[in-house]
Amino acid sequence: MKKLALRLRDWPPSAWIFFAWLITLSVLPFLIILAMSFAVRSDGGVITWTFTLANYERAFHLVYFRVLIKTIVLSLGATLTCLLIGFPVAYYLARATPAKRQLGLMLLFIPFWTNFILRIYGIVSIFGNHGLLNQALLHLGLRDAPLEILYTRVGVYLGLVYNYLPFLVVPIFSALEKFDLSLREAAMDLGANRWQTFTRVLLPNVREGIAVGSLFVFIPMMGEYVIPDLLGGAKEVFLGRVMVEQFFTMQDWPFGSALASILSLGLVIALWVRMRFDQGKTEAASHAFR
Amino acid sequence: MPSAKRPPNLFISFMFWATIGFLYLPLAYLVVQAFLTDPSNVASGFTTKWLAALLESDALWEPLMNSLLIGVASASIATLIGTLGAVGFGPFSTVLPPSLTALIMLPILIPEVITGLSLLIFFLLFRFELGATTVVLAHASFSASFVYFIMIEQLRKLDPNLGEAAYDLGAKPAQIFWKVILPNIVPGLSAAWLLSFTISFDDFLISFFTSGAGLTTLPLKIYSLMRIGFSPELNALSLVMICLSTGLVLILWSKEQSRKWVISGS
Amino acid sequence: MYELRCESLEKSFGSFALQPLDLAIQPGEFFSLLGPSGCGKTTVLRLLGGFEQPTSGRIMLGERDITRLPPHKRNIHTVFQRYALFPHLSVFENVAFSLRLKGLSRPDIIRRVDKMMNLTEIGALSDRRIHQLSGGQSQRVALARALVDQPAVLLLDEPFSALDPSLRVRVRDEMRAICKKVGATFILVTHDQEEALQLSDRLAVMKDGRCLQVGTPKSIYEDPSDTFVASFIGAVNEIRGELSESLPGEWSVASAMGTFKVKKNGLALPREVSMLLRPEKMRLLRQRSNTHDNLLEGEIQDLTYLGSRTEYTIRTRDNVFKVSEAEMDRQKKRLLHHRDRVFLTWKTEDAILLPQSTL
Repeated sequence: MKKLALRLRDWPPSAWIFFAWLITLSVLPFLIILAMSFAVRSDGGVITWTFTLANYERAFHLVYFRVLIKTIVLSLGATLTCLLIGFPVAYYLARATPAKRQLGLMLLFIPFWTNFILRIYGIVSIFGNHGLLNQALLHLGLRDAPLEILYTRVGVYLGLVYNYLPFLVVPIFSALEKFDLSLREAAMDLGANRWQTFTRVLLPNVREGIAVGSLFVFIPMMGEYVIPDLLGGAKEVFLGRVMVEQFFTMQDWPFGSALASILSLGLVIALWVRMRFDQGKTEAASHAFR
Repeated sequence: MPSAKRPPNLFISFMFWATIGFLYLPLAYLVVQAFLTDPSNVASGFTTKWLAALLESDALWEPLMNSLLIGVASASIATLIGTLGAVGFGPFSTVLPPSLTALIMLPILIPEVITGLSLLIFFLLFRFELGATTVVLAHASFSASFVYFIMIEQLRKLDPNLGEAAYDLGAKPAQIFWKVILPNIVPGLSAAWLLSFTISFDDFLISFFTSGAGLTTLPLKIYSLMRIGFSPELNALSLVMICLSTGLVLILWSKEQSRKWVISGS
Repeated sequence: MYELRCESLEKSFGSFALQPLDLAIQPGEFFSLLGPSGCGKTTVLRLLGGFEQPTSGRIMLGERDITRLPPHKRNIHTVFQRYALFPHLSVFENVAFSLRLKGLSRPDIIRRVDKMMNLTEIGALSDRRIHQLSGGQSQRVALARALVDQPAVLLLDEPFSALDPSLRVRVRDEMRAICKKVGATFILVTHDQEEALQLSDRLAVMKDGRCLQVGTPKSIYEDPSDTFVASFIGAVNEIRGELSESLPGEWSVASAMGTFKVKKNGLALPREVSMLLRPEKMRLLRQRSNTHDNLLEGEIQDLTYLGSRTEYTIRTRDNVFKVSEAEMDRQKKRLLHHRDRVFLTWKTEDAILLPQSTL
């Protein structure tokens, strides 16, 4: 079959309606943010549309740069934790029978369709000062005063891990699922022990899939607003929180937009890496069958 | 063939079930908490008085109605527009440039914070009055992309000559749509609508950014109660929300067309 | 019953163009359009069905010009490649679809649908859902659905390609039986020559938007109009050479492999010709023989025993020939083996002479 190239003038009207909707309510707002990141806020909150990189420079000033570093460290730590927990979880699913796998995936995702705020509240009711954990500690006499977990950096970290874990399990799971199990047997047959098989055969084959999946978890983490706001306490600074505050309390839209654009740039890079990765794989596959 | 699938070993199984436990514990405790006589003491005994009180109070009904209305409206708009897109692009879905598919995927991939902020700025710049309308538009804006992908999949399953066959046998264009195409895409349509509804119903962040001051939905109400401090009312409301959300996601899971999005979406 | 005629039918889109096509298909005839993919056969079918409009030319059904009529006003129905059965309707409702749209009364619908379902032997499947049907059953439902309002012409778009290869022969027999019972005109589009030969009363061979030859299966097989038709329908061995009149009335072809006697047919031939030999028209000899006019020496490179016949691949000095011998001939000879030296021969009148193709 010859491929039909779809030209703009051949688009049916219904496609145009959808496309117009997409452009107006998804692309345009995004472009406005991008444009605004180059604008200036004059006195009185009026926005002057110019072209300046001042907002970006400001983002790398020491005070914000420290926020950025703190955010990266915390998000990175949470991502790594998700990886460490997520790998065995994904491995379990990949090796389970189809029925168990379906059930496992369902169990994994049901909590993530209950409301986000409820998940936060759930964490508070477990780890808060009057939460289940502290009730238990006090009751058992292990501590005299409640253990302060929330409203510290640990609270934010817990919230991030809790809320992002399943989204990292899925990419690891699909990488493991694609992994040809006979490779593992071949390695064993050639004399590799379990650990060698894991590090020399399994990991190299699923590495990229996991790396790309991690990026897709790491970047949205940095933009989190509610988790640091509700679990981090007043002093805890976080990129997403600083960003949102520019729009609400600070009324500095251009600077907030610059922060949002930096975050989006990270996401675009992640997307690009993934597309290249997918493309590389299909090319490799087509070479194999040539 | 899945060759040599040995059952996962003990450590792996333990990690899996421990993780599931970790994920469910907070939510399970929320359920328990709603029935505690003293919410800050797990040993205080059970009561249904908080729930009963909630049923009488405004804290439940107004936000619930708002959430339902916004969900219905945004899901309907998203289903309509996403389906139009799928019908329009469907015949070409295999030859669409990857950049266009990526563009349609964009609203799903962008972190919610950025979607919410950019829509907020968009609404403010174009002088929309923040409220139910803007929340509906915001929810429908990215739900349409979910609908698009569900419906593309659904349409792909249909024989490409179905419409022509009906035409050949004497059906008029309207009859082709109502008697042949529509009955065959209803499963996809209902899954897409429900998914959009669920996304809207559960959404907090985007509603938070685009709702302005006056409007409360269930998640917004829970958030504002949380900011005030913890109360039996909040716990009872959480219980209601958990039940509704879980019910919705179970329905989504039971439908083949939306199951995939339960795993990768949200 | 009407004759279906294409008069200088043309269609172009993109880089494809259907060359002016003239065809007359007799009432009740089973006619096939045969050709490789991209030859334009499906375009012809879609023009006849009313799903495409021709660039120029006319389609006549009897004395009626149907060129511009929409599909459902033509008295022509189509059975689509993947059958396009309506998945939300039962078998009965699929078949009844066109009758319901016409607003026939309930008893009428039931009577006519039942009659058609019995004819196509799907009566027992009446309440089944479409996804519960096998490939062969689906095809019969599609036939019944298209035949129920008694079209004059039924168009079949590669109706066997969706079937499991092991099923095709049986389903073809069933289809042929149904067609004979119905008595409508059938037009089949296919790229499978075996299908076309088995089913058709006549067929047209198409290539690159052009109709190369129209005729009965026998005439096309035995008197192909060019080398493409000859090689598309059945296998051929080709010897290229120069045609010359060695003696008055006696013609021969001089090739790199030798000079062979030929019998000239009615065609006006250029000097450069192709001599085509069907594998089953060639014979193998153990020894050189002087009683045969045409001889080629070679070695058996490969042989495949197929029960009723044996197929040989013979390598001569500078060519490879396919030979197919019936089993009864084998008995007369000593068994032939791989790498044996043999002589190829054929009857002078069995060689098909054609202008060399320019390809």
